[in-house]
Amino acid sequence: MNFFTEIASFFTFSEPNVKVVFWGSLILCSISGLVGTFTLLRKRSLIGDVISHSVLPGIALAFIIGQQKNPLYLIIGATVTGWISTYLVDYITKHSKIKNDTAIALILSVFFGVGVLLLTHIQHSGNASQSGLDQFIFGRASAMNMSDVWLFIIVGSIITLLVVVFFRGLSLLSFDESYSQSIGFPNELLKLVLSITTVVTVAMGVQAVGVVLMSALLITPAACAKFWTNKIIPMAILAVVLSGVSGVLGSAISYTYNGMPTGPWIVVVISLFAFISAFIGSKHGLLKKYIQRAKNNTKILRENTIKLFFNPDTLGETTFQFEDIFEKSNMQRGTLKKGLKLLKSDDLITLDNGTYTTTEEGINEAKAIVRKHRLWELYISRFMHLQPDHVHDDAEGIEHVITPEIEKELEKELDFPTKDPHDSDIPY
Amino acid sequence: MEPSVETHNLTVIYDKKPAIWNIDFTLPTGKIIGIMGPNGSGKSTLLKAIMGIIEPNIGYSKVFDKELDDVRTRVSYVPQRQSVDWDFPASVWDVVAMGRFATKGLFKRLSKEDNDIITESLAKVNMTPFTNRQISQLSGGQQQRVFLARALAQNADLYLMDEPFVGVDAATEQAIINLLKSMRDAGKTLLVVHHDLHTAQDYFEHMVLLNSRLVAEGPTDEVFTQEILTETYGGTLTTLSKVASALKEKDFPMRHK
Amino acid sequence: MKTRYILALVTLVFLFGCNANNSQQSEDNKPTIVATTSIVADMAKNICADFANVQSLMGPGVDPHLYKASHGDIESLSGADVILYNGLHLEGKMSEILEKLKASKTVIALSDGVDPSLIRTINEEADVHDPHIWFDISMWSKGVAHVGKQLQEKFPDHKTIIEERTNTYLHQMDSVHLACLQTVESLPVEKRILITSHDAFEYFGRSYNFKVRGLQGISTLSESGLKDVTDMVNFIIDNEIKAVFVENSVPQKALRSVIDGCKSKGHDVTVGGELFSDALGADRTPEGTYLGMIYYNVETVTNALK
Repeated sequence: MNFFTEIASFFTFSEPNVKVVFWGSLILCSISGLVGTFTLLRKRSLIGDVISHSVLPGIALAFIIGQQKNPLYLIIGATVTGWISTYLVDYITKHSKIKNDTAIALILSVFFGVGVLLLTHIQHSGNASQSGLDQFIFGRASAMNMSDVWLFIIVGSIITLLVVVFFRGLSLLSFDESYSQSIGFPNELLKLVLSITTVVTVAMGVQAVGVVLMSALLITPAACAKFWTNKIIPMAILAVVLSGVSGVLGSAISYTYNGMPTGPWIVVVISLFAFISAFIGSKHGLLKKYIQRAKNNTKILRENTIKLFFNPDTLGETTFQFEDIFEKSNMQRGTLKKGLKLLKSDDLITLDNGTYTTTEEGINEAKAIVRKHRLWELYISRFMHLQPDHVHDDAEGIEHVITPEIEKELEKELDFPTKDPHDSDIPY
Repeated sequence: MEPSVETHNLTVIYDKKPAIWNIDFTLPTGKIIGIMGPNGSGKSTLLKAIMGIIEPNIGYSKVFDKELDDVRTRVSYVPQRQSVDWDFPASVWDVVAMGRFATKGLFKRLSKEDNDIITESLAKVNMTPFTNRQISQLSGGQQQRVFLARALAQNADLYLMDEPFVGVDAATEQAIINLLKSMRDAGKTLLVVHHDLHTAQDYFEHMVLLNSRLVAEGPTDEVFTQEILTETYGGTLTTLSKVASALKEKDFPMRHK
Repeated sequence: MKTRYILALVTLVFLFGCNANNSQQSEDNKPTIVATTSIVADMAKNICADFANVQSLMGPGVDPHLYKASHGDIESLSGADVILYNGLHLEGKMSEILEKLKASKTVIALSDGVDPSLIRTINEEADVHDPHIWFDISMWSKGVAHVGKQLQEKFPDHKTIIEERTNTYLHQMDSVHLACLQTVESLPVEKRILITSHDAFEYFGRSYNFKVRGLQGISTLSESGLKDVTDMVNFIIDNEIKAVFVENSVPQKALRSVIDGCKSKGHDVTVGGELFSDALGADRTPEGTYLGMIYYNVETVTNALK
């Protein structure tokens, strides 16, 4: 298939331009994942959005002032306005009645608007051959060259070094700022390190994915990593890896057909990772929750069904036709059928000519459930002073959760009782 | 006998309204001291000002008769439990280990000694079985105990605690106060912001009663009187608050340091 | 109080953005003709300068595909007697405005005068057209003639002068076309491969028998993908092309990465020159006129590829 041969040829580096874009995206995205981890943990994800939109006027100004297409100058310009915007957001929040999210919306739109204004001005001035600034809005990864990549490597190394060296301080700052302050950590310095590295990362990153999508590249890898780990170092590493892989995969996909933009594909890939992680992630993943819930429901159904077979007189075997047992229960027909099937497959009952009979195991199981139910009824009626006629419904729910350990405690607590609040025997 | 904490004219102003105003006191060592007052009376602010987390607009405070920076290793701060997002990717061990950062600083690795101290602290608060549990999976009481263990791990002489009994089950509260008492017996000083008048007399031997200004300070049986309590808790619009509101409304500048 | 500083900043920015384009307020009674691109304006100046004020919205080097009309531009357009534009969606971001103005003003597209069968379409549904028609002098002549006729109807008082000037311009165009053909003769057909930043030169290729290939598509709005870059590199190497051409109105970075790619693969290709594609050069230079620009392109390309 054409798609796969193209992907394969991407990874063989048969084309020098491919090699450049591969390394460029890999490095940019990895740095972004690392820095974004702290942006996320400090709950400043929206700030990432502010910065990425605010680099635009800086880039435009750097061009107007310097008339240079040197990427270093543009990054410096981007860093300046990006940094000013974060400073302003914090300043406004602290010193006026304007709340944080309002300040963010304000600064983001003003800076971006000014940026577009300046871009339009540049466009009207006819220096387009030197600028290519319009393409900062969505990125132009395909036009990366080696000097871009070298810049990413150098700046990226500095950023990585800073983050690794200050990792402890940054983690503590993100978790508990006031405690960090109380033990004398240099919080202002740490915050400065973080904001500068974030701004510079964004300034570099917009070249690949553009201003509009950069905040996704900053935050999504960390958010994705959070679904797989509960510890901060693995989270940071995972964010770096996921981000880097997205960079490479996104570039590869954009290579398979003509006219496909690279930046957006990178963001599509990492977003896909995030969606999948939200679903199947080992920590807080939805799938895990669904599976657990299904397991619980099965257990409940099983126990509720076998309870129906409990024989209060003989404490032994019982036999029922389907209709009898259906009448006794207050389940839906289909649910009861399902429950009976479960019991049969677990050898708790046998089916013979339309008649259900409990096995030895089934009898024990039924007794066990009833015992838990009645123990709990006794417990809550005694210690919570509930009337006997109120305890049944509560016990209906709780009986399934009582583990053997809890059961033992109940027995001890209640001093090995023989009768429940309705004066029925508690089977042992 | 050096005092534990001293404040002089301590004033913190938020948004043109004084949170605490002209606080002057000198507190003894080796006691469990309660800081109490109605909501919004500046109790947390007072702690933060002493810890240097907030810069006072006027006045200053001293710890063990020195500048805080000189004695930081002897002071431990336990912030309010809700001030932290417990969804953070850290285990119980990770949080308690932070207590060792006070002496180790930004870069030094934790030694075996440090690890022993952490283990010990966890044991003291009965959280050993939860050592590797992620902190979001803890109950309120367990979280509070983790914070306490972190403070213990610092091995300080003075502990400032902000509402350690809020949202905590009765058993944990009992366990905590017992721990505090044993710490006091070992010579530590504990400064605790508290909200529950019913338990104040049992817990504290010395008290600071606050209502943006200092109402009273001294041994519990001296200050825990009907009169003083009414002054502390009764009536929201005292003259001071009225003046403060007026200042803010007319946009008068407050005097600065 | 700090909020006031913010508001002041915002207002300043607002005012700055609203500074109007230098629009000539015609103190005389001459009619005003507003042209969109510098190429269209050049034609308009040649035909109407005697009796009308001719304004150009886009100056030298401005990319018409990306151009967004500013507040000052709208004012100019509103004050115009006649509006001239290229058509075929070249002024991509102005189509709505131009449509609206058709209701109340005389708005003429040069492309309307051109034989539709000669217009190149890009897609299968045949509704996306290549708008760079000025590179085919014979096609452009038809457009010029069309405008001339329309202007004669609009300004019956100046009928004679318009007809005269139009014919003069058309003659000049013919001579330049011949000169171009002669110049190109010296370049063997195998070497006539023209590589540029975007696909603007198809009609040029048709006129002078060049194979033409652009990195971006017919509009500079589209981003060239990684594959486009590598395909171009291989095309250059396979055809042993020695020079590629940047354009005055389009960013050069993408084409330069193509050059780098070729170099890495051992093929030395250089920038043969900067061509004028969608806009004229600076005023008072030979390339600042339409005919000068066309000839300059032909000469530059021929010399670089020889």
